Amino acid sequence: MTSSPEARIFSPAGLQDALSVLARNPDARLFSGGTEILMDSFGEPPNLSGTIISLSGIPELKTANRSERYLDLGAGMTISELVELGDRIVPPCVIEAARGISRPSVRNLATIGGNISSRKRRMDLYPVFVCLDAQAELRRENASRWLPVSKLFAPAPDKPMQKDEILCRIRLPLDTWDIAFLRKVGNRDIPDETTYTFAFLAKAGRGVISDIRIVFSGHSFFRQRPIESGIIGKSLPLGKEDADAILAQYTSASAEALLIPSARRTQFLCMLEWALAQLSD
Amino acid sequence: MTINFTLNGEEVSVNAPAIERLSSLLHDRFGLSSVKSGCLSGRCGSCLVLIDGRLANACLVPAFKARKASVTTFEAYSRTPEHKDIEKGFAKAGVETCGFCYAGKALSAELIVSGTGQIDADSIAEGMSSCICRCTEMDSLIEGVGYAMEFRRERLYDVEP
Repeated sequence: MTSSPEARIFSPAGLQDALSVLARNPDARLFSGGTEILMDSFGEPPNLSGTIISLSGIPELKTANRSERYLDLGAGMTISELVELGDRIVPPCVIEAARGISRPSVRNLATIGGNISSRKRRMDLYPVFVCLDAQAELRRENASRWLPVSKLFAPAPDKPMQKDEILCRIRLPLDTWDIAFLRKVGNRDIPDETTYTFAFLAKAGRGVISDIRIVFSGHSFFRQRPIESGIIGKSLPLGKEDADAILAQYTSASAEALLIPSARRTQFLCMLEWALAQLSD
Repeated sequence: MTINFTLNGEEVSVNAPAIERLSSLLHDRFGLSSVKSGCLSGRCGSCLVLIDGRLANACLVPAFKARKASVTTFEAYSRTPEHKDIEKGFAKAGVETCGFCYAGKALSAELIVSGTGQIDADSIAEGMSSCICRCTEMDSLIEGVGYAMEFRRERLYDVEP
């Protein structure tokens, strides 16, 4: 442990050490890639103070393991390392989302865990992981649990990620999706309240839509599971009446999502209309 | 805090606040003027360095994270034969930079030329995107990187470009 007047830095060499330090310092700030923390500190010095636990030297957080059904990704893997695994190991939609994050030099620093842990920037990997029903492994000193990525920021009764927990792994089910469409809109350089990621995944089986996920996520999160449930089972190719009805439902629902800027709502509906058209071909 | 790391091939040690940005540390304490504090938010690319062989924005790295790392700045890279390939390639394509961004562009180009992945115009444009300065249009940069690859092959394998 080393100190400066502003910050006390712990650099554990292993996960167990990190968990022990965190248990003794529950208010410590976890630092992995640190890109968001330093990006948001436009001036000197960076907005870092108090106790900081650096996770960058922990090998257990940087491994990837693939089985027949799942892919486990260490939360400490950089975005570049994720992309370099390639689409034979990582679902192509995840690779595509990762490639859309900032620039190569930033992707060499930013981590998977950092990208999905940002409360104010739930874009890129977060919406894709939600669509894929990814699970996050959270560990504290003597306990671990799995939590759906969609519940990382859930209200308290759902036990979201706590301050004394470290996000260690993300588990991705390796299902095959027949259609996967991603588009990032807004300010890509420094994601702000206008930056959103549109994710549309669909499966087809025996001439019907067997599963569908539609997420629009950024500064706020928009997903309508009841509408998705209503789409499942519809025949393919999707008829114009069905597509129009789905679009009308989302038009109505998105109008009530007041945190999404109106221009982005319009873009969401345009992208949704296009994505539904792919089911009509 | 004592920061021990490898800088341009030499083991160095410096006392600095743990949270000081690496860009400031390199520029102010080591006099490495190729590393500039521009946007301080990882956008402009004026602080690009290689950290453990990877291109990185030094403004996004606090000093404590540089411990035990190997950092290479343009000052060291510019003295290598690899840089000559980039220089010649840029010159042949007519690339003329404003000077402020050349270090970042050269380091970005080096990682493309020395990489093993598929190289096409799109991947070159993506690889050069870490430095956003538009003093030179992307088409010239893509052409310059292409020529640099030819010069690299010629130098390493004695192959006619």
